[in-house]
This record gives sequence, structure tokens and C-alpha cells, in this order.
Amino acid sequence: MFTIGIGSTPNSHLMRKTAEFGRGTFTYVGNLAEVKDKLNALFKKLEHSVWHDIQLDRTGWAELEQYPSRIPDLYEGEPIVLAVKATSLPEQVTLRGQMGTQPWSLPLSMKHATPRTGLSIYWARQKISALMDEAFTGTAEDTVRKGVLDVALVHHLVSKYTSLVAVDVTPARPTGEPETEQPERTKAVGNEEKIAMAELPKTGTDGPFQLLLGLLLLTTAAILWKKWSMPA
Amino acid sequence: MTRPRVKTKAIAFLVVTFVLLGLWQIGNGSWIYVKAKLAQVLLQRAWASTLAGQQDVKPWPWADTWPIARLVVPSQGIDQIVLEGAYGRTLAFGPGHVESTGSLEGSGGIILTGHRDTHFRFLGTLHPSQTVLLQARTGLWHRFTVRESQIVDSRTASIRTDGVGRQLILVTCYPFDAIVPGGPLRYMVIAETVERMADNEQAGSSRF
Repeated sequence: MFTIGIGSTPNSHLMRKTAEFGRGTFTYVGNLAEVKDKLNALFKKLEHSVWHDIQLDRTGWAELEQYPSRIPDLYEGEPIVLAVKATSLPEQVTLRGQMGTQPWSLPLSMKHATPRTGLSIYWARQKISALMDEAFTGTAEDTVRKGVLDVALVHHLVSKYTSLVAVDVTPARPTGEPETEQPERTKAVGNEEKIAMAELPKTGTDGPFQLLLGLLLLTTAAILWKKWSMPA
Repeated sequence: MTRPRVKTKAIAFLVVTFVLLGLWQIGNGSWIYVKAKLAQVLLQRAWASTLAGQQDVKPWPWADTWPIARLVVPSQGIDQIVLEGAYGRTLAFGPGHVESTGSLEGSGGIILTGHRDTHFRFLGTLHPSQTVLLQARTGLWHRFTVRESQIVDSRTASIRTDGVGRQLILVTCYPFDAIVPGGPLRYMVIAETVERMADNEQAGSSRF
């Protein structure tokens, strides 16, 4: 089944999942101007050689867990993305499928594989996604929940049943001191009666200044008088 | 003899002007002190009437305040009548009681302010453990002991009036000898109540 979403509000999740169940692909067209190109590409894809019934050869794997468990049909220009977990890996992996009516196999060497840390997260996401899909196909909610919790908690992932909680681990007070020695700072304001100093009147008078100014003026007058009456 | 006559006249005029201005300033300045002294005399009379039972006795007919307490500091030889309201117009005549603080009859803290040049100049020489007496309108004497004095900045400081025990806080401007008034510093004397003196006679006789 091939789903096509056009415009800004298609339910991408639903359409992608529907396509997955139907072993098809989901095409999303956000801009109406791109409809022609995208659909042409899709039709071209459909016309060109389909590799179907793809399966991973299980020989050489131990405790294999593979997602998606059902590999979608392969169309031109698309990759095969498989998230696989196992306790031991074979040196060579073989993918088998049908091209038209002919059996076809693709050998892949694992020798050149390089370790990447993010892979486990990707695998876990795929597993959670697969488990959630099981809820649609009739598995009991409790079983799904347990399975999702096991994966999500180990890999610290957000899911329908788990979320991330941030805990501040920065010390808020000196760790060496007992809590009781912290000063008490939040007293109810209403209980305290305070008079702001600024509300009180100023209590300096002009008295000393006026007396000083007066004396200064009298002294100046006396000096002036003396200076100008002496020669006379 | 070569000095022009006009110049002599100008000098004489200048001298007379300076003398007049000087006398005017000295008169103004002295009046502040005279008023402070004189008002206290009138206030003592009003206080006597208050103790005799009259309510809100005005010390002179046009006064807009009335005595509410008598402040006595034996060690400083101070005997002043405290007025209700701490405003410029009342402080010229006597120390003022900050109306928003507790009354003498109540139990809260009391704040009195006074001019640093006149009535409250003695705060500078008031030391811890000295006694301050305050007589309420009922005639009851309250005894306080000076605990400490502080210099604070009025722009930031505030006074708590709900402290443990009863407090009498005397506030005036600081420094005492500043020529130009209006600085931000305040001098604050905090006195605490020791006991409530039971009868008028005891306090009166011990002091006078």
C-alpha cells in the first residue's frame, strides 16, 4: 500500500504506519507545486524493479532481534534500513528476496562496520515503535506496556509510558554546613512594623548657618569701614 | 584726599548694607534658639494643665499641636515637653512624637525627633546606661535606659518598632556641628524600658 499525503495537515504517523503494514511507502508532498514531481518519482519507483519478500538470512546470528521485523519491499532509489541486535555477528550477512519471479540474494560484509554509539538508541526506538504497533494487532496493552518500559528505561527514551525528568543536582547551599545554620530570610512582611528613616523630618535648622553668615557680614563691614576711614 | 566722593559714598553704602544683612541673619538665627527656649516655657504651663486633666491643651492660641509627654534626662539636665507630630512647624518648639509610632499609653515602640541644634543637641552626650524618663499625660512616669546610639543613613535605614520589649528611639540629624542642614545622616539613640514606675510621687521625688 502506498500512501500519499498532500498539504500541511496529513496525519504523517498514520500514513507512514499504514504504508509499513502494507509493505509500501509513504510519500509526503508539503508544497502543492511539488505534487507533479513527487508523484512522477513515485510512479517511476513503482514501475521499476521491485525486490520483494526480503528476508535476512538468520544463519550465523545468535539471539537476533531485528526491526522492522518485516522488511518492506524495495523500490528503486531506496535504501534498506535494518536495526539489528544480536549477541554475536556473522562475518557475512545475506539478504534474500525475490526480484520478479527470480530469487535474488545480496551478500554484505560486516568486516568494515564501525562502532557508533547512537545505534543502540536507534534500535531501541525501532523496537518501541514495533511494540506499539503490536497494540494495533491485538496484543494486550499490559504486555505492550511492559515491553516498552523495559526498552525505554534502559535506553532513556521518551515513549507513551515514559518521560524524562530533569533533576537539579547543583548544590543549593554549602554541602558541608548543617541546614539549621542557614539564616532565616523570609519573614512575613506584614508582621514587621518598620518606619523608614526617610519619613522622619529633617532636624537640622538654619540657625548655625545664619549666625555664621551674620557674623561674617558684620566682620566684612567692620574691615571695610576701618580700611576706608583710616586714611581720612 | 584724592579719593573721589562718589567712591566713599559707595563704600559707606556697602558697609551699611553688610551691617544690616548681618544683623538680620543673626536675628533670624538667634530667633530659632529663642523660639525653642521660649516655647518650652509656655509648653511647661500647658503640660501642667494637661496633667490636671485637660485634653489637648494648646500652649498658645494659634498652636496646631499640643504637649503629649514630658521628657526628662537627669544626667543631662534636660526637661522638655514633647509635642504631638514630628513636622518642621512643631519641631521648632520642642521634640516631636512621630504620630505613626506607638503612644505612651500603649506598648509599641516610640520615636521622638528633635532639632539637632536645639532640643536634641544633648543626644550627642547621651551615653549607654543613662536614664531617660518620660511622663505620660496620665501623670505616669516611664523609665528607659539608653542601650546604644547609632549613626545611620536615612536614605536606606529603617527602624523596627515591634522589637522585643518596649523601646524609646530618639532621632536627630547628624553631624551635630554641620553648618549647612539637610544631610542624609541621622543620629539615633535607642533606650529600653526597665520598669514601669508605679507612682508619680516616687519618680518626682527622686529627681526633683
